[in-house]
Amino acid sequence: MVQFINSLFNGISLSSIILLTSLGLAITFGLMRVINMAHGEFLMIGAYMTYVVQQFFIHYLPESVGDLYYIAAIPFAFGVTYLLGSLLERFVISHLYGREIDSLLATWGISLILQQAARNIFGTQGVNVTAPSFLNGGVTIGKCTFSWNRLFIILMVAVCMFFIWIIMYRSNFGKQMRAVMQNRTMAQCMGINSRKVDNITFSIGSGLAGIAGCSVALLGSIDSTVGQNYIVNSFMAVVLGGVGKLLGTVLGSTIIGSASIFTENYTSSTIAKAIVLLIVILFLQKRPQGLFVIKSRSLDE
Amino acid sequence: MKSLKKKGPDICFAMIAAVLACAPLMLNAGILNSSSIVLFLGKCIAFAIVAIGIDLIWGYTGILSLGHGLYFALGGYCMAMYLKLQETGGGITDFMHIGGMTELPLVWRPFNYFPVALILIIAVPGTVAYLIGYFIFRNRVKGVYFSIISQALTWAGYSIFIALSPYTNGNVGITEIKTILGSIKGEAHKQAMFELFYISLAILIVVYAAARFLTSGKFGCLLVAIRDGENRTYFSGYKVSAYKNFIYVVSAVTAGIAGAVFVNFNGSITPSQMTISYSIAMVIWVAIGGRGTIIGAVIGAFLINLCEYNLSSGSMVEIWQYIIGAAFCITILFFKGGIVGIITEQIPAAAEKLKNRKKGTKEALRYGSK
Repeated sequence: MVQFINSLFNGISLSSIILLTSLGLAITFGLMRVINMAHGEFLMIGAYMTYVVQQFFIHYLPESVGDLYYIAAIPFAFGVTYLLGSLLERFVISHLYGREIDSLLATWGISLILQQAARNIFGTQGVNVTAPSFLNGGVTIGKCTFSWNRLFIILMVAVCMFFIWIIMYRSNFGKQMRAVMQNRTMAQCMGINSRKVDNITFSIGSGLAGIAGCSVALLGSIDSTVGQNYIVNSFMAVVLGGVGKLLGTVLGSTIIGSASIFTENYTSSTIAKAIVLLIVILFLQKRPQGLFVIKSRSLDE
Repeated sequence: MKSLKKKGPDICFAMIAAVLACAPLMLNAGILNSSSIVLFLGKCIAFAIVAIGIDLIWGYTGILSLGHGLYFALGGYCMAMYLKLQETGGGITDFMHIGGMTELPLVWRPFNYFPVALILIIAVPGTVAYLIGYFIFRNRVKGVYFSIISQALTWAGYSIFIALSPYTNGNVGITEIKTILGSIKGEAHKQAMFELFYISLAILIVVYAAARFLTSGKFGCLLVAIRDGENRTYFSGYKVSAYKNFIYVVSAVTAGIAGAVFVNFNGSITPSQMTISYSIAMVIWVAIGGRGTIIGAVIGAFLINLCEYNLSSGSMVEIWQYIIGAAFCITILFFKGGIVGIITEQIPAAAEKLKNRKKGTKEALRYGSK
C-alpha cells in the first residue's frame, strides 16, 4: 500500500512536469500546426535562468532574501523565454506556416545553435541549483513521505493550468486564439489579426517551457541536454492526447507519466520508458488522431 | 541543354566516384599525407548510402523519418557482431562474460557464418521497418505524426539497446573490431584497406544505380504523387499504404547496409549512432545537399562530413555547431532544394530575371526615344 501511494505520488509528479512541457507544445501545434523542436531548449534556458537568478541573489543581495530567488526566477524565466519565443516566431516560424515538417527541421537547427550557445556560456559541466530552504524536507502522512519540492511543482502546474484555462476560455484574446485555431481564414475575415495572435501564442508556449525549466532545475543538475530528456515524452503526450484540446494533453501526460512510474516498479527505468512509448504507439493504432479529436469532415485532418 | 539537365546528376555522380577511386592512388603517390583520410572517405561512403535511403523516403515520398539511425545501427551491430565472433572464434565476447553469460546467446549464434550474417544485415532492418511501417501506414498516420512516432521509436530502441547490456555492451557498444578483410591498420595492411575501400565504393555505385532505377520510372512518379497529393493517389486507385511501406523498407535496408559499411571503417559501433540527433544529422545532409534528387543526397553527405572533418579540430569544433545549425535552418527556410536546387533552379531563374530586366530597360529606352 505504501509503495502504491509512493508510486502514485511519483507518477503524478512526473506527469505534472510532462504536462508543463507539453502544454506549450500542444498550444503551438494545435493553433499554428508548427512543431517546435527547440521547445526542449527553451526548457533548458528556463532552467539556466533559474541558475542565473540564484547566482545574482547570492552575489548581490543580502542573505536574508536568498530564499526568495526562486520566486523571482519563475517570472524571469518566463519573461526571457517569452521574448526568445517571440523573436523565433518573428524571424523563423513565420516563414513556415503550412509547412509542418519543415518547421520541425528548421527549429531543430535552432535547437543545435541554442545547445551550443549554452555550452559556450555555462560550460559543458552541469550546474546545480540549490532548492530554497522552504522546499526542503516534506510532509509525512502515515508511512508515506511527500517531498515539498515535488508538491510545489504539482501546485505550480495547477496554477499554470488555471491561467492557461483563463486565457484560453475566459478572455477576449483566448476567443480570438480559438477562432484562429478552428478556422484561420474565417477568423481573418472577421478582422482578427492572425499574425499577432500567432506571435503571442507561440511566445506563451515558449514561456511555459521556461517555467517548466524552473521546475526541472529543482530536480537535478542542469546541462545543455536537459531539454532532450523531456521532449520525447512531451511530444508523445501531445500526440496521445490529441491536438487542439487542453484536456487531451492533460490526460496524455498523466497516462504517460504514471505508466512510466508504475512500469518502473517491475523493471528498470529505461526499459519502462521504452515499454510505455511502445504501448502508446500501439494505442495510436486504434485511434490515430489521439484521445480527443476535434470533429471535422475535411479530408486532411 | 535539355540532355545535360537529364544526364547532369549521373555525370556529377560519375565524377564523384572517379575522384573517390583516385583517393587511394593519391595516397600512394603522396598527395594525401595520411591514411586516415581514406578511412574517413570510407565512412563518408557509408553516410552517402544512408543519405540515399533517406532521400528516397523523404525527398521523393515526403515521409520524414527521424529514426534512420536505428536501422543504421541495426545493420552496424549485425556486422560488428559477425566480426567480433570471427575474432573470438565463435566463443563468447568479453562483455558477455562480464554480463554473466557462460555461452553465446541464441540471438547472436547465426552471426558465426558469413553468408547468414550478410543476409541478416539486410533482413533485420528490413523486418523491423516492415512491421513498424505496416502498423503505422495502415492507419494512415502521416506527416508530422509519423515523424514524432518514428522519433519515439528510435528513442525506445536506444533505451533497450542500452538496457540489454549483457547482449550489446550497453553504452560502450561493440568496439575494437577488425574489418571483413582483417586488420587494415598500419602500413602493412594498406592493400587490405584499399580493397575494402573499393568494395564500399562499388556498393555505393550499386545503391545509387538502384535508387536511380527506382525513381526514374513509373514507380518514381508514384512516389512523387504520394508526396504531392496523397489523397488523390488513393482516389486514383493505388494502395498508397503498400507503396509507402515498400519504400520505407527499401530505405531502412539501405540504412542497414550503410551501417555495415560504416562499422568496417569506424572499427566500432555504439548506441550513439541510433540517437535521435544522429538520425536528424542524416536528414540535415540530405536537406543541404538537395532533397528529391539522389545526387543531392550524395553531395550533401560528402560535403557536410568533409567540412566537419576539416573544421572539427581545435577551436573550430564549437563554431561548427553554429554553422551547421544556421546552414540547416536557412536551407529549410529559403532554399528548399538545397545545393542542387540552387544550381538547377534558383540560379537559372535569377539569370532569367536579370535577362528580362535588361531587355526591359532596353525596350523602355527604345520606346522612350520615340
